[in-house]
Amino acid sequence: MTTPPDAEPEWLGGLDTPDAGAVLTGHVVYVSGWALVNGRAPSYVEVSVEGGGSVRARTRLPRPDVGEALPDHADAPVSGFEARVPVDLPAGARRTVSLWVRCRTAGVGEWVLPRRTVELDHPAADPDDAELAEELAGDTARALARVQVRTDPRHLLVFTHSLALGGGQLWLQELLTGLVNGHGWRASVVSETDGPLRADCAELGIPVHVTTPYRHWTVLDYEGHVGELARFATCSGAGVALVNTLGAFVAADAARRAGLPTAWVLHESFTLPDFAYQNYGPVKPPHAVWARWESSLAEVDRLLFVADATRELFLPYSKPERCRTIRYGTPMWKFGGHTRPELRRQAREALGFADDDVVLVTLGVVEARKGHGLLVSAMERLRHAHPRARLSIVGMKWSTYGRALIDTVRRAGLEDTVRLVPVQRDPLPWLQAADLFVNSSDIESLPRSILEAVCCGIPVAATDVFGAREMIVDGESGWLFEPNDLDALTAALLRALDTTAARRTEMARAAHTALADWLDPAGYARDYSAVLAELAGQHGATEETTVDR
Amino acid sequence: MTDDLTGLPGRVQAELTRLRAERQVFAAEQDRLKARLVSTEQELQSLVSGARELAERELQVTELSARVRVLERENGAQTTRIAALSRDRDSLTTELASCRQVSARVHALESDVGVARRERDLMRAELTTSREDRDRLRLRLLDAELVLASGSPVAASVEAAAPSTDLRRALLAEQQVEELTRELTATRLTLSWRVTAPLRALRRGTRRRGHPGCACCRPAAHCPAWPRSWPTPFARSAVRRPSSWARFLSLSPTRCTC
Repeated sequence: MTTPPDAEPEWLGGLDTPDAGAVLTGHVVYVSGWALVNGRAPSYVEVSVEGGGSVRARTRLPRPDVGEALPDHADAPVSGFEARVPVDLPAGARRTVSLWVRCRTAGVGEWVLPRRTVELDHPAADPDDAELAEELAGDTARALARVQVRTDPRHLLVFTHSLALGGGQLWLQELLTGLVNGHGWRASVVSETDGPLRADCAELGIPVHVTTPYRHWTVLDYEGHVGELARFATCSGAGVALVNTLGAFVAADAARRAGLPTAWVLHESFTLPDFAYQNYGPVKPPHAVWARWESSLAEVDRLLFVADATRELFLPYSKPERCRTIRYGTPMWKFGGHTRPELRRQAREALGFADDDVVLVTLGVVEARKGHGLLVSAMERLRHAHPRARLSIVGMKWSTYGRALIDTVRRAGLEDTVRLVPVQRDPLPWLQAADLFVNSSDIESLPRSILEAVCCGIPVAATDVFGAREMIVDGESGWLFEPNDLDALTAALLRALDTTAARRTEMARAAHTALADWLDPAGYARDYSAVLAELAGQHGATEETTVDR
Repeated sequence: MTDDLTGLPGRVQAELTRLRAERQVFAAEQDRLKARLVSTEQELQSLVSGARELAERELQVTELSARVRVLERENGAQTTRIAALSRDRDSLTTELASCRQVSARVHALESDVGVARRERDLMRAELTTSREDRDRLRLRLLDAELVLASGSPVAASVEAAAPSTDLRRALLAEQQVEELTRELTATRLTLSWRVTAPLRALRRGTRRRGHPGCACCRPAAHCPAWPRSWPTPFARSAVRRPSSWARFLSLSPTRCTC
């Protein structure tokens, strides 16, 4: 679809949820819809909710129904947008709020959807639930009190969510390798789901127990699971516990009840209500369970973060002295911020890139959060100005979003410009071949992919969110741009592509110099070992101590 | 012995009478002495009991004296303890005062951190706006380059529209962004953030508000420049069930020009 330059732009779209006048349960407003201007998805969509502020919506979400209905509109299949806006509303309160959506594309204009009014109903706490939770917690405590166990202060019990390949999981695996091989720790792992990293645990001599999912919608289920995990923790003989990720709060609660000193690592930079909405839906866990979540955050011995911005996000739930940021490194630090020219040449040859190609790489499992749809659209916009630019999205997964990406690349005729590469256990060749690294996620804590790019001497263009801004200084050691904004992403890529190769090398070197102190993964294993040893020591556990719980 | 003295010689009678009289005197004396003895004995007993009592009292006094000495020693120890406790109290008072100072400083620092974070957020918002401006100009430049490269009839007019002006504006916006970025980085690192708070407050009061382009902070319905006679833009959405779509509405653009 083409529009003459003097014609008025055609705006199409609408809100799917929430319906006007709807009564929404909870205090998070989920807004979704679709929008097109001149057949293209807008560059930027902002959702505003009274009492909740404004958030940038995630755009270029799959909408096969719109694509089917508007086949001649290029971006129709990816015209979807969504946003979640938490509203300040106490439990037991109701409130009528207005919401509106603003769409914008540079050079075209701005469009505001009609204001819509909905009612929010935040259910009050059920006193029966609270009573039941107390009763069940008491049963668990009495059962645990009958157990006599020897604890080993050098035995670490780890609770995690998954053993599949992913940022948080790989972070944990590298940490366990450092703790076991470098600091004399023994470990046991409890995971919600199995995955290929179980084999890595086996190599380290770490037994793995796979438990049931951590999400529970009733007090009975929650307390039951906590009781089981607490008994497991008690019988494990561990002297200290490490809980990985925000969603594993049932494990954090269990570890505390088992009397284990506990460190809880939070990678997620979502607010708690937003995270709960994503995992539990509009009706978040029962209040008694929610209260346990908040109390676990407040009372766990240490809350550990990978980025200061994430720490700041969770400070209101705990105390400053319990919250600490520990940077993590990557095994790729050994490359020293540099890729040898011959390795680069070999990698580019093996991957089929020409000498004069400017290779852009992004790493990460394809999902809406990573903004891969925006990246593809940006490449479409600048391919004429930079015809040798080649984007490789490494992390392709066969999902609805992945299929939409494939379709977008095909419809835009970008097969020669954009490659969709399956998830790679070892993405090193792609990094060695790259001229630029791009991270377009709208939520991140401290992306390990950026660390890896820095270690390989590749300049980074990243969204200005959370930990990314703690690693990159815009214009000096990389480029930063606003998230969920195609115009900003396109302009950032233009800035990066317009930069000479020599200047890009300087910027990559500057990034490596700034981060050099904490790129070595031995550093964070050492820091974690010290924190865990301190916790185990405070608990008073000594070798062969019998603890009458 | 009989009292009949007849038949006794007169001398003997006189002697007997004298002796009887003497005996009476002696008896009286004896009675008197007995009485005196009794009273003396009573006195003695009372004296003895008094002495006993005195001894007991003396003992008591001795004991009391000993107790007093013990108490005095204890008192001395208590005094020493009181002195030590007073010194402790003084040092604790000093410590409490310094803790209060530290607490006040912590509160002040927390407040400063809160202020710094708000300032940081404001600066980020400004940075976002400046970036938007810069990016808009850069994309206009891109569009102009594409038009020129396409060789369309419009290209001539585009060329005449002084892209150098756009370039200058782009450079200006770029400089503004760099300046704001540097400032943001510096404020993250500098300890003099609090010291410069009054200056920043003054700057905020006199800083020129507004930015090029539309005031995107307001929705159209709240925009004073929004033509009230125009209906607010359409929002018919029926995409959940594509079959329920009847038609689409094509709209005139809604440009916020305030």
